[in-house]
Amino acid sequence: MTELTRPPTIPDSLISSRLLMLQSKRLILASLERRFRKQPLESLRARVDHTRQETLNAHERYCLSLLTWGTGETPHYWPVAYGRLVDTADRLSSKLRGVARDLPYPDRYQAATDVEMLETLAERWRQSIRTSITAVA
Amino acid sequence: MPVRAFGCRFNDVEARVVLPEVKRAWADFPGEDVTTSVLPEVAGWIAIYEELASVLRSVIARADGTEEAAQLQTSLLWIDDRLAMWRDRHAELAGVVIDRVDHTLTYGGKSLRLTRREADLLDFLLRHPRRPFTSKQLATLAWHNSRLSDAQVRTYIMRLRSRLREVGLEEVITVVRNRGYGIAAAMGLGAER
Repeated sequence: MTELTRPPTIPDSLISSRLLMLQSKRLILASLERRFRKQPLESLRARVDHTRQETLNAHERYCLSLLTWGTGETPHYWPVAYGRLVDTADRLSSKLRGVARDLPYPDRYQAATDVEMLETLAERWRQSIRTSITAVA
Repeated sequence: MPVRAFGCRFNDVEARVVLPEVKRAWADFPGEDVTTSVLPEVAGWIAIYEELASVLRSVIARADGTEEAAQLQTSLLWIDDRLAMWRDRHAELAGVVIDRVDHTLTYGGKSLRLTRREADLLDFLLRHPRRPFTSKQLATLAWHNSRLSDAQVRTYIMRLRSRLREVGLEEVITVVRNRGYGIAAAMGLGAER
């Protein structure tokens, strides 16, 4: 059976359904934002804010589904996987940098080493996001 | 009026001018500033390190055999190494030393002989701060024995808590409602996460 005729697997369907949800939310948000630009009403602003949050949640659910059920061959898997790695590494290095001054001396050195390495890793992963997006396109 | 600090007497001027310098110098002295205030911070980044390692592991498993997976494996090795280092450091900062060979716990100048199971359990919890574990998880992760029942784990926990009372650590193992057992806030288990 060729790739074109291969029936979608359950993980493929789950990922596709989350992607459709995300795309629908994005369309609704774009439409609401357009209406809000034309008519800046307070009631519309609340709906825009609410829909923006729902879009963010849908995006998070889509990313999680890709990470949980996707594989290296699933479209958009690598940009999402590297994106998650970059986010976590950035969060960790900013936390380490934030408290480094309060640490005992040897730990300060260790934390500084970690920050440097994490920044190098995050930069490498950022580069991989760019490469994988180009590959998908 | 003289002030006593670091085992010395300081007059008013010395206390105002010299003492802050001395305190700063002592605070910078390698390994001397072992304050418990940094414990939650260390516990905090151990949790993020664990998250990073877990994401990496999952990505490697899902992309096994690819070039990317091989590269990520190298990063995972480094992260696991740092995680182990910070886990050890966290236990050191908490002032708890567990000798895994003869299962002796040392805390605040007092020593306590534990059973192998008790030592493994306490060591595991201290090395995984900020995370509560269910009885099932503890049986599998701390003792590598998934056949232990919840009731047996509960008994071990109760017995360990009562043993820890002897060295003043009775509050170190806490019960997190509906989530399991963890290390107390002072040792790094916080609400944040």
